[in-house]
Amino acid sequence: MTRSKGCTTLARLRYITAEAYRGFRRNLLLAGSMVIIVAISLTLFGIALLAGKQVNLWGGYWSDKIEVSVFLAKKITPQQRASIGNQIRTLPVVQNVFYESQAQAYQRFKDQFRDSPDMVRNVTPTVLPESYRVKLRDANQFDQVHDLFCSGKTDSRGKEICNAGIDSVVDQRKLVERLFAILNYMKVSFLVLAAVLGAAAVVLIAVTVRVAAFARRKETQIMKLVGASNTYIRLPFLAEGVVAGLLGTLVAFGLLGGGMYYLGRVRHQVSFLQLLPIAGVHELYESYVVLLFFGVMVSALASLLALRKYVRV
Amino acid sequence: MIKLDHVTKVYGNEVIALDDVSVDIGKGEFVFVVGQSGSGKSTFIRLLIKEERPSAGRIWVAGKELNRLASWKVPALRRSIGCVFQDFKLLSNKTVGENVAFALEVIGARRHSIDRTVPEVLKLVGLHDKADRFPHELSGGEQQRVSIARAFVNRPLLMLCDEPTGNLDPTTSQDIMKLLERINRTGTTVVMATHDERIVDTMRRRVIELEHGKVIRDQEQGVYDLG
Repeated sequence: MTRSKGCTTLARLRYITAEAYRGFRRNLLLAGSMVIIVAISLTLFGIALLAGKQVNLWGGYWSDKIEVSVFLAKKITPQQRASIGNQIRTLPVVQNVFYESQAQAYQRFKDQFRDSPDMVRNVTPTVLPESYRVKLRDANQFDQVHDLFCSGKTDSRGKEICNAGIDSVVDQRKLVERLFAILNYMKVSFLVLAAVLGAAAVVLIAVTVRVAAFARRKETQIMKLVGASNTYIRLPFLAEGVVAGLLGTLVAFGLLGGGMYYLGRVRHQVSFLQLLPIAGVHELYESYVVLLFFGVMVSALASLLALRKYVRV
Repeated sequence: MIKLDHVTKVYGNEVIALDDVSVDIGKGEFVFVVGQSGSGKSTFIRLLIKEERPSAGRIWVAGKELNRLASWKVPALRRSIGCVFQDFKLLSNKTVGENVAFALEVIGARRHSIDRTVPEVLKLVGLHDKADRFPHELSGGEQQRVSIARAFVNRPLLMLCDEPTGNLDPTTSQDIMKLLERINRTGTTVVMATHDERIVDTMRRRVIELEHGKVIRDQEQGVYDLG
């Protein structure tokens, strides 16, 4: 009993896949467009997701860290180091200050990039500058720290002229805020694009499934007459839409994975990006799960929508 | 087997297809539903397989009240009804055997029972040697036999035939009627909508006559036309 039941299930599965394949063959152009549009909309959606993850990643990294870095020059005397420290501490706007030596900077760097041993190998403690890390009571009062040490004028090489022993004073927050703004802008615009294309994908899938149902209306009519269940009649059409959605999702996976891989390679050539944590394989896989869910759900819903109106008892 | 209780069917808002029809058809009966085109014969049939819902009144088929039948139970109802139409409704890309087997496949029958049942029913309709032919290679009468085979392959309690001889010449029609009579003798109720006078007059079975959606005659061993 159980065995023959298994046989029918298998036979049904074979029937459904065969029918879905037939549907694809019959209309390669439509099937191809379904796959492409799903792939594009999901890729855009994936980019938006990853940009969002990147914001969170950086947000977490910076949220309770320093707001101003006073990088010290390579040639600095112990007296200069001490006096700079005192100068910072006496500023009323400063909440707290700590000194980070080259060794400490190297340690932090190693922690941050434990996933990229290549990078760690290429960096020695002497390359990283020592610094005072300053947290302000009011983050907007950056200028007070800056003006204490630097003139705002630049030398012939475009570098800001600062007091002896100071390399530069950097408002980390500003740097990050600009990046956040770019990422957020990217996230929103890609989400909007993804939504528009996603809607187009839904319509295209619904139309394709409807065309398939129309092309086979005689078969479905006979199926209904002899008492085939709704599920049995609809499954092949549903499968057609979902398979297209699935293929599109896989293409999107490939595009995103490839893009991330490429970005990972480029990152090594952009110095400032090397110091920041970047969304990696883990975030990519997280996005894959979301994309798979959307790819399958959206195509299934679109197909069902089309079938509700068309293949009805 | 079939009971209609004050059934009215209105299409849109004005086209009255059936008007207050009450009919009782017992198990194993052979009934003709006659009337001119547009008298409501096809609507009568469509209501019985729940392809349409009545605008008013209640319908019972095989002990089930159709108004109360959940839509997911409709397929089960249709499995107990065989349908035959004027235009055969065969799939042209399938052979005779495959067309009949299709009816069993789509309700999830097992392969070995399909392989056993299909030749049996093809033999019953006299087409056992044509199982591998395609519908277009057959005559109209033969195609209608295939569609009867497909309708009967589930051993339904009820056969509904909507003008089954409408496309056939008189001699072929007689053969089809003999076949339907044989099916009726197995205990299957047969309801046949037709406007073929000759057939109705020869068979002398119960006749229900419709005119403008009303039953104007319901007669045992009737003829097509009283006038």
